[in-house]
Amino acid sequence: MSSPHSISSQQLTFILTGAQVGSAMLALPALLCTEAGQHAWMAVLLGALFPLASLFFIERLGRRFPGLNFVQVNQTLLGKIGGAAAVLLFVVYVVFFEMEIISSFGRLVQIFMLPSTPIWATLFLAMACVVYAGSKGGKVVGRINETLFFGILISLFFILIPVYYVNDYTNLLPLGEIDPLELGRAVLVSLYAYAGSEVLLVYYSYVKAPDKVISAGLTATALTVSIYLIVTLACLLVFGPDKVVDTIWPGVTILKVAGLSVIERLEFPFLAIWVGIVLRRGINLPFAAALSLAQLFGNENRHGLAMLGVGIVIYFAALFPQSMMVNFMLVNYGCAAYFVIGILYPLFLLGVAWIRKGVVKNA
Amino acid sequence: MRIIPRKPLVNNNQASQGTNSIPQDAMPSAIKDQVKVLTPYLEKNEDMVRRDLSIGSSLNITAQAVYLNNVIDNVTFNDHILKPLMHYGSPEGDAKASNLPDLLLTSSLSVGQVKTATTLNETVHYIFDGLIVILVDGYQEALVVDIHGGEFRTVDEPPGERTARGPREGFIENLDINISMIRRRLRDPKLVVRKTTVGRRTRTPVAILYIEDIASPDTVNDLRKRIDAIDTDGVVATGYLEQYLEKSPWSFFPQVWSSERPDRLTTKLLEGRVVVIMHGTPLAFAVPTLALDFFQASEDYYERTIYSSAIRTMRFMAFFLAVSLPSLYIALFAFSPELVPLKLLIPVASARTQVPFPVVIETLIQEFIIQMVIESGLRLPGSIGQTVGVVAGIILGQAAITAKLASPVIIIIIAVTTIATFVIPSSGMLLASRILRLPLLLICAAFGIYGFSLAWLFIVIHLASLEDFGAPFYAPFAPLRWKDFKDSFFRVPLWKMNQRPESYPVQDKQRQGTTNPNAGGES
Repeated sequence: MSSPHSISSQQLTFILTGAQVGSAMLALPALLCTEAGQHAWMAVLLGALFPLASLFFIERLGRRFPGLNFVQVNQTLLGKIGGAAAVLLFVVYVVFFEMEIISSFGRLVQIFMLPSTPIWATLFLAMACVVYAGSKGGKVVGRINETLFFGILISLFFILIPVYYVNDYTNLLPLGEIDPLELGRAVLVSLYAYAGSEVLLVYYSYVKAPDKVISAGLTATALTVSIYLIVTLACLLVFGPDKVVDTIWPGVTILKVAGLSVIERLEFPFLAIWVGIVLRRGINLPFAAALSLAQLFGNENRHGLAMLGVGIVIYFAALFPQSMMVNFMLVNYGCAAYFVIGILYPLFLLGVAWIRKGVVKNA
Repeated sequence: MRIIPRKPLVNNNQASQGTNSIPQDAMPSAIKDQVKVLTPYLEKNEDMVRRDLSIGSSLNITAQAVYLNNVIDNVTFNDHILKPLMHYGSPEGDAKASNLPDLLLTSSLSVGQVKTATTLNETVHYIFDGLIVILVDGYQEALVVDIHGGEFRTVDEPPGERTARGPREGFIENLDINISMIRRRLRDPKLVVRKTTVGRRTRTPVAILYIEDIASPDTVNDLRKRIDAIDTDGVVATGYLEQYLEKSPWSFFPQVWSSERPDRLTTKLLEGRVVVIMHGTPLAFAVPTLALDFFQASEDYYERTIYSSAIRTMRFMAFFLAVSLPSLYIALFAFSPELVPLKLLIPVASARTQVPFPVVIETLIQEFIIQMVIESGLRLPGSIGQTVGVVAGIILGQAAITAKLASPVIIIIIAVTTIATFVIPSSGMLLASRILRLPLLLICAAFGIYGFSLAWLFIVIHLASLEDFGAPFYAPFAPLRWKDFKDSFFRVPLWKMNQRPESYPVQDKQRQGTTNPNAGGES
């Protein structure tokens, strides 16, 4: 009988895309333009090297331990206590990361959709949805990601409508006059957008065809880069780099530029769909954390209970930031944390595996 | 699903053996003793007929036919059982032959289904199963003859599944006739019919049908196991069985697809599903079931592709409207009127100025009224039901608007929602849409468009989590099965459906050759 968490490589593609694309889609153009101006789109492309590196390291690690889950890999390499500590570190990282995601989500909903509803109520509903999805297991998480992916395509369609009416290609010029240092800083900022790809650490052992993980990861990265590229270019074409910097969420503001005769304000239907897109990011990472916790305590089938626990902690943590400024500050820490967990950590485990070849062989 | 360990799976020969307190003792050979041991089980039943007879004009062996009144076919009984037995003339010596019951079965009774019973338990059950038991003096073996008859409804078109171009036949309440309707359409020797009984007291015959080399053996075994695990006093309709089989009984959505049309069940068998038909009910169901099944009608396959696809797409939209329209009305007009184009907003708002209730209350009142109208219309006889509909729809609606208790817009919203509800071809999904509407309405009343999005996200998550008989309920949408999209929102031409669906397990995936109609039907 297959595991209740087993996923296809196609589902992995959508999970990885869903773990990366969220509210970053709306804020990224402003963050990148602040550093790189009209060259922001280059930062999107170069930033993709981070998830690619993460994918490569995690795949190499997973290949060395076929059939072992995330907790078992950690405990094999770092010992029972060391492995448990590493897993708990991962869980703390997810809670911290999700705190920022869910909190930003709540602020956005409050500003654009429900100005008079208390944020604790909107977040409660969102987290109920997250916990419900996660409690159903990996299979269901994979399926939800498949379905909701198409919401991104509809969202992109909405974003492209204003570009049809208002665009100026000179906003992208001049090309090639970029300060490499500025571009480098922008690339580091883009880490924020690609964070989430590290869920592969947990999902790897549940992929039915592990030999397809690389191709699934590459497809996911290509999809993510394309989405960010389209949004960044659209914002640049419509606003130009200077005006993009002045907006907090240019990905939504762009929709105010144009309207259709039947839908006068495009941002509302866009946000109605976008809610599902963001919550994919809200589901994928906490589920990975909950599953790791359940594995750590020796009962994978109690992932529902673990999900409830993780969900409650994230909910209360997400109520903590009192303004968007705090959220933006958290983004910086989030970037650093992603670099550590998504890239350095699998690299470290690979190093340990290389040193402890005997242990790997026995495993 | 509730599985209680109980009786082992029964086969056809054992089908009439129950687990109750009737002893398994061998029947005595003398007829007066046979009658004596049977009497405690039969004496209180005044519909029990005991017909004494004498076998053979020259042999003069005492016998007694025991059966339930009006359950058997009287003409066949008289012509093919009584007469041959009474006129049985055998060579001298046969009268004392130890195998007289066998001789009578093979050379005297001219009916199809005959067998013998040797124990008290068997004999009593055969009688109450509606079979004729003939006790023969001097022999432990009783003759058992199956000539079910009596009054049955004639085969007619099912009122809830009418088609313009399809066959006009629908199942009736007789299991064997229903099976024969499938057999007449599917003459494949690989079509297997397995019978069992469900219900300790009702002992309702249930048939499991499948095509041996198409249906997944795992599905068949799983289904048989689950049906056998049903330990209850009785089941009187397929709805009972469906509820015992469903894995998620608290779900809003029906998880077993059923139909009264033999043509639809035949296509399900050809797709590799397993069909269950129960005696006493005209509904049969097929498993595994996908959400998509509830949006398919038999006419989808009888009409041309373009027409079928357009209607199919409209059905999905109708379901969305049936579930969402009142809640969208609330979300837009109570929370986000700025989303509504000004030219639409002004007339709607002016129509609502004199209505004393907020949008939410107005919608809830109208929704409650229409649900009552639907319920009363369903239960009342045809003409009265129509009258109630007219009174509610036209007179009450008009009066509510005139009295300023409701705006014309809400009447339109509720009317469109109700019409959309009845576009859905399956009664199970129709009910789901009626029920789902309320939580959506309430969540939109609290959270507007945001609540609407999250409510649908909840629905999608729930749909994606349903899985039974190895088939994800929400396939081919999640998990994505690209090939099965050819019979989803749209239907490709039949000659393009070369493969069976991938969304559930089947043995033989190839449905047909590569028939190209443009080449005159040549392969």
